[in-house]
Amino acid sequence: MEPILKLADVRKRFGGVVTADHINMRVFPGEIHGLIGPNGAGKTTALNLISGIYEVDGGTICLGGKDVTRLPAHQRARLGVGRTFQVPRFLRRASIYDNLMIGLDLANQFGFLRSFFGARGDELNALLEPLKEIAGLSFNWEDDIAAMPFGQQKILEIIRALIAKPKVMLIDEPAAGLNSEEILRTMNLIKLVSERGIGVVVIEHKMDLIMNICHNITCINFGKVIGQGAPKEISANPAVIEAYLGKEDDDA
Amino acid sequence: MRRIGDHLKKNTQIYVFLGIMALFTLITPNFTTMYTQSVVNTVLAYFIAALGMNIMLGMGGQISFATCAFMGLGGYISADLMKMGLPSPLTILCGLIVCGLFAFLFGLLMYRLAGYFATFATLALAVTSYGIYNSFKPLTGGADGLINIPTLSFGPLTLTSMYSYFYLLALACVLAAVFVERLRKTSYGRSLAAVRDNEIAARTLGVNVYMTKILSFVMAGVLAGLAGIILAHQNRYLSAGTLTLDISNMFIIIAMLGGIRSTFGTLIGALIVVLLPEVLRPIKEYIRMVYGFVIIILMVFMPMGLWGLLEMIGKSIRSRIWVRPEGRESRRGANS
Repeated sequence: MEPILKLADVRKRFGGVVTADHINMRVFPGEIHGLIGPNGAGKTTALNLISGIYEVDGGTICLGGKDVTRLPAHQRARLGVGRTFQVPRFLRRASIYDNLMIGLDLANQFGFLRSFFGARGDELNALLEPLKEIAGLSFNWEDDIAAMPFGQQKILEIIRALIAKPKVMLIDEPAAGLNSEEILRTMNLIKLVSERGIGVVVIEHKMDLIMNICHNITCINFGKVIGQGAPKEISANPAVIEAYLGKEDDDA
Repeated sequence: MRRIGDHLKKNTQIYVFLGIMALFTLITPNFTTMYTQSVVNTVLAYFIAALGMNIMLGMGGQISFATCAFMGLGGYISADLMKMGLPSPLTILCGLIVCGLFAFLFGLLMYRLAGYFATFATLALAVTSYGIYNSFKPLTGGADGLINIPTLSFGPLTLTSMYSYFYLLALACVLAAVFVERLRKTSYGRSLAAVRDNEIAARTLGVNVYMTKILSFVMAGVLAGLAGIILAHQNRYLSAGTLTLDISNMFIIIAMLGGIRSTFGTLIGALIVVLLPEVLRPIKEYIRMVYGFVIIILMVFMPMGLWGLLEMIGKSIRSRIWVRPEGRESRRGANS
């Protein structure tokens, strides 16, 4: 099978700080790929490079066989790179409806005139119905997004990215700041995303979650890949243990 | 029936607006003097131009001080072409196209600047355009202004008085307002909201931030041009003195006062801003000071303008009336 997302030799530095040092990574359709590493290792930078918020200094990023290295962020989004953020980024002064519709707009790509004359595409409600239950969401369309609890906002951001029908979804720390029930719902949602054939890259610090849902894991430190493989291999990888998981005998 | 009800509910603003415009159109010309009519016409023209601010500022969070530049551009082009003997529909169209095209080209350059620097570019445009309008004699008549501008005529229909211009303006207002109101509900309207609220989110949601901003500038430019064209032909005279930065500021005030996110609010804003100097004639010299204070007070106490205030009051009344006892119960249940 062809990987849906391929990073080859990706490099990025900010002044003297190297945040991506020859990163190689492949994500297949339907795969949940964990991205772990200590704070400041360059995990979020990697997501920003993939989604095009930062430009790479070198190397290539391919999406479904197409080289997107030089494309701006919005074009990558249109080609199928979905994204959520550690702190959800919403249209703060818009309703929940508009916030989700903008995801649907991305899936539709109607253009100005067709949208102006009333092209609608899929019914948002029909798309949402199967998701609402899994996500445990309840809201009114016209509510302000800012009034929504933080945990629900984070879940809603994943849903917005999903509605946009991406090929790859980049999820940055989905469980940070959530209670245990919300974490469970988030994990189910991520599984659902992957079952739809979307390649998922997820950054997370809670190791039990990562080990649980990921098919493959990449561990980075100082912008360098120090371990790559199935969860079991990673938890046995000495370099990963050294840098991130902590040595067994530290406790002793 | 239900669908009609939903439709009405969703588009309340536009129907209120259309109703009031219809009433306005029926009543005004029969009861006004020439002078009052010219004031009313000014309100409508300023409303059209201020709708451009509604798009840029209210939907997209971009400020432009260049409204006067486009009012002038449209006005001079249409006036000059008509003096050369072209028919009105064509001169209006040319004026609008030139405004749109110039806004697009200027936008291409301007929005390469980040954030507030783009706003400064519009400021520069406003000042520069004034300089050009005030000194480029062949096209603008220089400091004397352009005189003897022919009046508009559409086939057999020649607009001869303030009253006939009123009907044209009312029609233009309705078209512009329906356009803006529709725009809010399109994907482009949401793109603008995304640009306003969170540029990074916008980019990751497939919004071309650069083009979205440029297009909003183009729309504002064309609307300002339309207002400028009609006013120039109505007054039969156009001088750079009426195209100063002051006038541009006024459109921002209109949009902010009425409510930057409301079409109807913008009309209220235009009414107040145009009528205020009439009422406050004794302290005319200080009118700008009044505006200044009004802006500060608005930004602090009602950032969504008068319409936003009305909406807030409406919401709180509705929630008091409509929340049923069981609704309260379940809300409490959810919290505990």
